Amino acid sequence: MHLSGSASETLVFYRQALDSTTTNSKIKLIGLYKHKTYMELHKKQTRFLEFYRHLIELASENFSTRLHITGKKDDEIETFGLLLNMLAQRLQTLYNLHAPSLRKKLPDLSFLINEDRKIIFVSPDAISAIKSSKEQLFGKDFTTVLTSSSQQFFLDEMMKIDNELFHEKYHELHFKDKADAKISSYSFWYTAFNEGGARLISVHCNFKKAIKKIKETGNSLLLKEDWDKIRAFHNYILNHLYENLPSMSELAKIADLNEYKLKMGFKELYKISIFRFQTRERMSHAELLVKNTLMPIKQISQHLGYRDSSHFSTIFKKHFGTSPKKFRNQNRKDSP
Amino acid sequence: MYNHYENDFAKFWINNGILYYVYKPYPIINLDMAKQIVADRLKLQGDIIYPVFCDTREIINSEQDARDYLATKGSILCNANAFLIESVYSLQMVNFYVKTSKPCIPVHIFNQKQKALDYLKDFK
Repeated sequence: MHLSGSASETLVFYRQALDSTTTNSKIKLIGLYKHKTYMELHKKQTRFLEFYRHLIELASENFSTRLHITGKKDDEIETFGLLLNMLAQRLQTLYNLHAPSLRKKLPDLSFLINEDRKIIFVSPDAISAIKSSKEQLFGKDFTTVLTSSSQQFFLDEMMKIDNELFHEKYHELHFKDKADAKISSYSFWYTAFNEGGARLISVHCNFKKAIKKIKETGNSLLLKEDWDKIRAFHNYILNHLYENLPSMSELAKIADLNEYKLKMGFKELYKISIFRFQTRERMSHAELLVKNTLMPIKQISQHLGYRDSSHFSTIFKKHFGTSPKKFRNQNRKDSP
Repeated sequence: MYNHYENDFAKFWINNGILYYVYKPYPIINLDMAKQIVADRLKLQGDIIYPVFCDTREIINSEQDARDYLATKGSILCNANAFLIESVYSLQMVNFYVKTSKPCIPVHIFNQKQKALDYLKDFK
């Protein structure tokens, strides 16, 4: 018996066969039908199990997970699998766009000292906080960067913890700069000790103080809806790329944000200022037009929204190191 | 200037004020391919803006950065895009592209070629 064709054709075949056979044959046919149905069901279930696994991986922030796709276009389950893969890629991109923290990054002062308390490594934030340099700090006794009151406190603590592998302490630790002025005050520090005798001392800001300072300087915290507005604004720029940007206050109205949040948020999310972003995108379009079309340079500059073609050429040269005309000549390929 | 062109990934030609773009069956469209697609299309167009009819029925898969590239750079010298799809698979893929990569020009999806071309007539 040849079983082939679509599921509905197969079902019709079974029904016709059942009507015209004896009871024993009927039982055999029902068995075969159930077997085929079972196999298809099992295949579907296995596929769905793969989808569930995929979704759980996504929920666990594993965005590199992928389902195998065969490209079978008349299969809805296959379509669903394709969308899940595309979703994973999308999430990976959004996640890697440096989902910005909702608060400004707190300075992390880390010092690595050896058994003799000599500084063998120091973090950039620490160098900046103490207003010193690597060369001035390396090899120096750690206590010399502390105020006298903190020095004593630190030495007392070191005596207490001795060879303890990990020790946390909530206490103020004051540093001083070259002029012996107290420059920072932190309330949390911890130390870790490795078998080679090196000790890591890591000091973190007082969170309450840090937030107060952020608010005083106007670094207002951005909420999720603010980041969504900034992303929407990014699309707005791309959709109006050839229009000259209005003033910051106008842009802020368009974005439905205050100027500071728009400016800082855009820079933090996209690592570039709004105006530079527009210029960069315009130049990427310019590159393609200059390289791949015969459009006169003046026409390209007008198309991209530059009123003055010499201004356009100046910006182009700044981006690509050469004038549009020379760039075209260097990259000219035979037209199709 | 020629009015038709073909590369490894697509065939395209200009007819009656519309640029036709037909993708060939290819396992996955990556960023390099997307760049090639845009570059070759621009070479064909010269300096004229066209509405684009895009036959996506043979596309199997595409990468995120390729889609993002086509959404932005793929709109250069285009003023509208009509996608032709045939299956649920193609429909969902193009739908995903439109919703997430947000092309910079008006885009519509059709399952009938003539309706797609009728839509593009307004942009000629």
